[in-house]
Amino acid sequence: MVIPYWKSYIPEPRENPKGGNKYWLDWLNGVLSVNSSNLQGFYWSLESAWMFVNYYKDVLCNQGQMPYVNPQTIDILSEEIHNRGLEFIWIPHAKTYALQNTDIWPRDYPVCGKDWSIPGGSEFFDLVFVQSNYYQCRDWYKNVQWTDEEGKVRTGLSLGEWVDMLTDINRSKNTSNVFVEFECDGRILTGGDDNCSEIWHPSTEYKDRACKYVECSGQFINRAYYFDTNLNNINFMNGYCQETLGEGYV
Amino acid sequence: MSSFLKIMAVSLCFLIFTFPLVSSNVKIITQGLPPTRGIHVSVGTLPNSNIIFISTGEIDAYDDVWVNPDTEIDWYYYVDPSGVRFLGAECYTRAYSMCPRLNLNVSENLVRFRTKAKLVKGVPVNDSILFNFGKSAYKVPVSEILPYLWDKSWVEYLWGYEINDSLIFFPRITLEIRGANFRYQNCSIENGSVAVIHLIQGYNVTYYIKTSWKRSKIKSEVIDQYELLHLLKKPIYIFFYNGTFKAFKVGGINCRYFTVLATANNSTSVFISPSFYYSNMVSPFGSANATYSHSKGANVTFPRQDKHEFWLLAAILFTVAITCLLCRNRKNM
Repeated sequence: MVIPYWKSYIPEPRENPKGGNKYWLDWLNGVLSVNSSNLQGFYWSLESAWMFVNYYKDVLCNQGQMPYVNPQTIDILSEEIHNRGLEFIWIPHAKTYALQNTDIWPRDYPVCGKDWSIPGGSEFFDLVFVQSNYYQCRDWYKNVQWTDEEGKVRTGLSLGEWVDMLTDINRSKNTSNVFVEFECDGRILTGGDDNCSEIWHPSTEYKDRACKYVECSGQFINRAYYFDTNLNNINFMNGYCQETLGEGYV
Repeated sequence: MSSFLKIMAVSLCFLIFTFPLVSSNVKIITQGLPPTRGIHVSVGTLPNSNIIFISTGEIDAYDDVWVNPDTEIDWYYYVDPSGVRFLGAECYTRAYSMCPRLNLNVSENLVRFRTKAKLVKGVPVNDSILFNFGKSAYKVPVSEILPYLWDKSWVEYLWGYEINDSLIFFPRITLEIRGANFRYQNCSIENGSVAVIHLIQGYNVTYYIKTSWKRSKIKSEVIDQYELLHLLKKPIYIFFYNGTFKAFKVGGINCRYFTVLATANNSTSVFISPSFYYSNMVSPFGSANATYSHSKGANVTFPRQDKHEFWLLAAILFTVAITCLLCRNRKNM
């Protein structure tokens, strides 16, 4: 069950994100008051991987960019869900070359001139599946300019390097609940524009992008899949990756 | 020469000299800036303090992330009667290629220069802005300030604090520049193999004020590239007043161009798209060299250099056209 962050049709959160905690808790208890054997857990719908740091920035110096949420809100929701024996899942998107600076893991970080200990989603959610958005934005990965630790400006980041970063952070933070989301949609059949560069690519390009996740992230025991709203996309990819890589998509 | 024209010149020269040897189709496309991309700059202070705090970043509204966190930078300044001191910057991501590489300890500098300050909103009274601190008050003529503001609407949102019988004040606003409408200009040059597609871009410039986590729009307008270049010539200023008015420039917004190469089906496309970034204009611990009297910056005119660049671009396009025609004639012979 998805816990909504936004109001319907209005780009505003359903409650003051600085931490009223009433609306979302009431919403949760409303759902939990209905007996359903199908309910396995909850999904936090705000996908921003920076949803805590911007809260800190706004509270500390009135400069945080929306959307954000008070980490205490997530902590309260998490406790309520776990008390019922249910799971709490988050699938943040983190199209970034600096995964370590996201709110997926806890970290010490300078905000508004001082160091703060910012909590991470991995502390509240049972499972976190990170969206690389490589499928939607391969041209961003190919053309992005960034500066490495030696101060050298580099162009391009591969999905493999991005997954290695994620694995390294999991190791250094001693985290075992952060995984990768496998992404694809109808463009595997029709082709379409890359979301970031808005350049059109044929369907073969998108099929290969989707199979890259199998190649780079096949080692993860838990996976989440994004496949548009069409289950056939995932069936198609299963056959395609099996044929080209010798390994199924699912 | 602007980086855009450098890219155009290099790309076009490459095409001109390699064109007879190239068998695939090549397109150079100046790509528009969509409404989901641009830059934001917010001016304020650290809470209840004298430290000027400017927060900047590229807007990249992908899903529910409205800015690109990899590009977020916070800039800190200290102002006194002698001028502005740059105390350092904090990048959300040190790996951002535009993150300033400075040997400045931001935390130490903030401790050293930070003092308590009471912020007061300036109230327009007749032709002046009144900053009333109770025991003291300052009236600054609007005509002194206006030449340094991007828009006269900012006059309503000036905030200041008092230090050593002087007033420091600034526009406490967030400005955003995003792409708006764009159309392809009918000046493409094609001969079957090479095409240069030029674009006319509009930009949406919006000013906001922030209250709690919400923000309110002050003004929004769509302007063309010429008007934007004109606007970007004007830096962001912090003001000083003790009977004498001084404007200190702290930073400006610049434009740069990215190229994206895409190859598909025997054709190559070079996409050139603009992006914006904030650049600091104050030397670390610098002082009087950043001071400008109001007589200097009052009349901002479209610089001659940009006119030169326009004619240079026209000359390049003309050269390509001639080359294409010659090549076509040679093929037809």
